[in-house]
Amino acid sequence: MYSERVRKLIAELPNRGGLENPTHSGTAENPICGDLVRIHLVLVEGHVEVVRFQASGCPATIASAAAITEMVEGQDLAFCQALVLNDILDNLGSLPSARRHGAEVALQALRSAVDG
Amino acid sequence: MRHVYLDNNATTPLDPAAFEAMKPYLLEHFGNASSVHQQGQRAKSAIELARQQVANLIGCDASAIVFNSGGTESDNSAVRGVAYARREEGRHIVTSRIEHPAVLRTCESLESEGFRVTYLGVNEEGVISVDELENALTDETTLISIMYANNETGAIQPLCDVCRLAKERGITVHSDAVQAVAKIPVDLEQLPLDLVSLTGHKFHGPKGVGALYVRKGSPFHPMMLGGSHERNRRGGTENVPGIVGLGAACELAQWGLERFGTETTALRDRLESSLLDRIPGLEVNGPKERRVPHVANLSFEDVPGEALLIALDFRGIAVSTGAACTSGSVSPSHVLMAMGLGDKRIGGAIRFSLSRFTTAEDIDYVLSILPDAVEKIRQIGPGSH
Repeated sequence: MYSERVRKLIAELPNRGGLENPTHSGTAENPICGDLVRIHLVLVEGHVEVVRFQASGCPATIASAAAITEMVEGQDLAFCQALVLNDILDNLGSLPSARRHGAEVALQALRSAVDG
Repeated sequence: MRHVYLDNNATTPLDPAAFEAMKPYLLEHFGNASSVHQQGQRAKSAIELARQQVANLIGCDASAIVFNSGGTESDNSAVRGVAYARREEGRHIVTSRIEHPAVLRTCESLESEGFRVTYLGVNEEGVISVDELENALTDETTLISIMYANNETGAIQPLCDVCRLAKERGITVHSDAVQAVAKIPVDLEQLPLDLVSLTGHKFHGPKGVGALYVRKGSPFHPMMLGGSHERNRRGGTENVPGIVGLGAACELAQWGLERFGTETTALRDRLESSLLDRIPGLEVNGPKERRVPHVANLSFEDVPGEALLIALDFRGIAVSTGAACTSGSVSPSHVLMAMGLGDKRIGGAIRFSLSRFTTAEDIDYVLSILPDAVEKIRQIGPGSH
């Protein structure tokens, strides 16, 4: 059902937790299922130096948030702003179609963080 | 990586001895048990031996055992079979909210046909109230269907009281005993149930084969019509290798039942108490005492159960959850909901179900992995720092 990549992200949860002094933060949620994602960034000279996430909900949402943190780490703001849903789905190796809302919530949280 | 399978309420691995017993009936002894020739009679003998093995396990006469495709068919045919057979006497059925969907969906279907169904609630430990049952019974009640032990919590239901109330009123009693047979002593000489569902794959038999016990003289309208198989109670050529495997699994279970009770209870209790010691915010769902030996249902506060399931699966540990996300909405367990547990507690519920193949090393491995997995997931909680 879930790719090896998703399973590994869930087991290891890279870049997990909050951040004391982020330069950028964004939150998104799915009111139907209650999924919630927060992305916190510290941008230094236009690049993501530190990134953390917090999430609750289904594994697809949590894995998507974790994947995004790995994708944007070290990247510039333009990269973060240009990310689209398929980039996340490709990174995850696939998500069951019924679970793609998780990637959408995580992406919205990132957009909220970088777009302000 | 070590693999620890603790989802035995979903299904169990086939016992190699049951597999060995089945093998000849998959190849050389392929006869149809209805045939008169030697091949047929060999199959028939094997079925009758299996029938006796099943009967020995549950303390009944072999002639009361009807082989079929498993628990879902047993539940469907028991509930509908009695409702139809007694429809001229009354059209009221009493069941509970924590039954398996095979019972619940059948009851709903009967409601659409004009039957009335009362769904009993349960207390916070997942046990029905005998008083509520008594109050629900009417002159129109023909059937009570209450499970023996719940598949999610392991809660054993008060069937002695159910049978007493039913017998006083001439009501037929069915019990889905799929999670009780071969796990705790089930003795139908002592407990006067009229129909009992069981299935092989829950206790190391093959999938796709089960049995319905139908007490002699019990009203029963067969659902599967065809030949005169199973004494006209279930048409269809018998699944001979499956039935042989089921019989062998019953015999193996009977030999090991006492040991299963003591050893599995000890393993389950060690798992549960060790986790309670090591992990804060942990609650047991279901009764601590009157439950089958192999089930622990625990809620981890601030932990989405599905994420924990996947984290454990990644480390080789198989368990199941109390809620699943489907198409963007959460489908919580109807059993935990009926117990009145809140959304958060249901969302953080994990069921561990052991088998006689579970070892102390398996439990040690889970204890070495689980606390860290829970801690990591809690660190991503929106309320965490």
